[in-house]
Amino acid sequence: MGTKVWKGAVGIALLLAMWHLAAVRYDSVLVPTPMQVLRSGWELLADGPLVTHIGTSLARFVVGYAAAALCGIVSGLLFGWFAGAWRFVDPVVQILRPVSPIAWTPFIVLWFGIGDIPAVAIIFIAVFFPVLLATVAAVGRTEKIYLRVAQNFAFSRFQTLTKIVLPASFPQISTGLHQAIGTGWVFLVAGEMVGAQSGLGFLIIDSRNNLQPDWLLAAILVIGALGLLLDTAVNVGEKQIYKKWGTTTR
Amino acid sequence: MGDHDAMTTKIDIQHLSVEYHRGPERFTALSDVSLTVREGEFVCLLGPSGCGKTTLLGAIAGFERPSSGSVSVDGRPVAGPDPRHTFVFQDYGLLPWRTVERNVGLGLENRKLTRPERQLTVDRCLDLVGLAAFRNHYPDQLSGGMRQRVALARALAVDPDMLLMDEPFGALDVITRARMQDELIRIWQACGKTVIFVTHDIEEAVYLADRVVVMAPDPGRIKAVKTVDMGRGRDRTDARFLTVRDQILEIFEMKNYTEVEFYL
Repeated sequence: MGTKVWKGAVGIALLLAMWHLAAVRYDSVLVPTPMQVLRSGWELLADGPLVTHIGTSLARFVVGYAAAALCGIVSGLLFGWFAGAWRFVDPVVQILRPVSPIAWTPFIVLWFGIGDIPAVAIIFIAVFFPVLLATVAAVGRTEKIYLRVAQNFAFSRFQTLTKIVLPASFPQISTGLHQAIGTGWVFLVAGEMVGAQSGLGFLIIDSRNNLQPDWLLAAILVIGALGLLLDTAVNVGEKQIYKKWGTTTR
Repeated sequence: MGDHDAMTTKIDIQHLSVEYHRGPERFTALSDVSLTVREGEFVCLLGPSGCGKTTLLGAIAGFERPSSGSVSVDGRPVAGPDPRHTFVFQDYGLLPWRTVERNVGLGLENRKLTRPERQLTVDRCLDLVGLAAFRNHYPDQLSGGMRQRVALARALAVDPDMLLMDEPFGALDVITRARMQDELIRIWQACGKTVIFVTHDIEEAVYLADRVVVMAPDPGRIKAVKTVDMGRGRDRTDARFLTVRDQILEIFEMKNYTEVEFYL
């Protein structure tokens, strides 16, 4: 662990050095130096707009992600359980899934206007499909022996779903939720570049319009750092889940 | 306790056949099996893999449907799984996300019991299998023998009148297995339930059973039924024990006669 941190720090230091050299070599309007970016980032932070943008983005992310995760899990449980119905839905999902959520933005703006909704809707689309598919697959893979135990104890279908199938699928569902965090965060920024008046994606557009490459790079770094933070938080949560659910998932 | 005088029939199987369809192929898992089991009897189904012993157990449990013939328990045809006839699986079937205590209480959760009533039953069953100290452990933290005891406690918690055990000790080491066998006999003697126990281990069958049902494959059928006329607390090295074991080996045609002649 110690060497991992150390080597990571060296990697970042090398990148900063190369970046600085490139910035000095070329025009600072094209490539601002790390120090310039740091200074601008600090100004954005100290004057308040950065905190507001981060807050707005995180709020949109939480709303879109939570709604998509809830819808994905519930519909995934139902379609996984009623496998016959899934055969009708599966081809539809397979067609919709490869479409980038961004492609929907014209319609989203037409239907819902601008503001918070486009970003939330795009995260929803980005998160919903992977969670749905992970849940359907997990339910289908429920150990037969668990279902026999439920049958033997004369559990109702609802009891079997809530007491056996949902918890048995949970480790796999959580893997799907984890992957969707990254995807959702990537598309959040894209969503906010469409018609939003706030958020980290808006900050990117705003920096471009104001010819402020130092703001632009500061925003990019913040987006990356927050993505890393979210992923780390989920990793910790997932470890707890696996610990509780047992190392073997059978 | 194997009360040999009471002749109340618990299980009545008549000309049972079970066939599977695998695509165009038909596979006969059981062919014309007839067997009756008395109330409170301990019967072992013994045979090599593919002899249909697990299918027969599944048919009694209501997991398998007869292709022809009939299976009745308490005079009524088996219509499906029933909590009064509890299945104990070789792979335990414990839920890894639940503690020992909550695994044992699983079958009580759809009954109209108050929380203290449920807890009382769970405690009693945990005591019976000697796992009260492990109530808050998860299955992954237990050895194979302990897991099977949790599974047994879970089966006993719903107070079934019949235990259907599918090679429950098959995955255990020899010493743990011997201990589990003694424990099972103790529990069986204490609560007088009918036990059907599937095994491929001849010694295990002779040690546990009132009667050993010897089965053979291709197609799965009953080859012979051997009564073990010995009391409990059996000695595996006792001459009578060895005689019964040899008789069953003979049924399997696995006894080497020439060697016996030289021995004289």
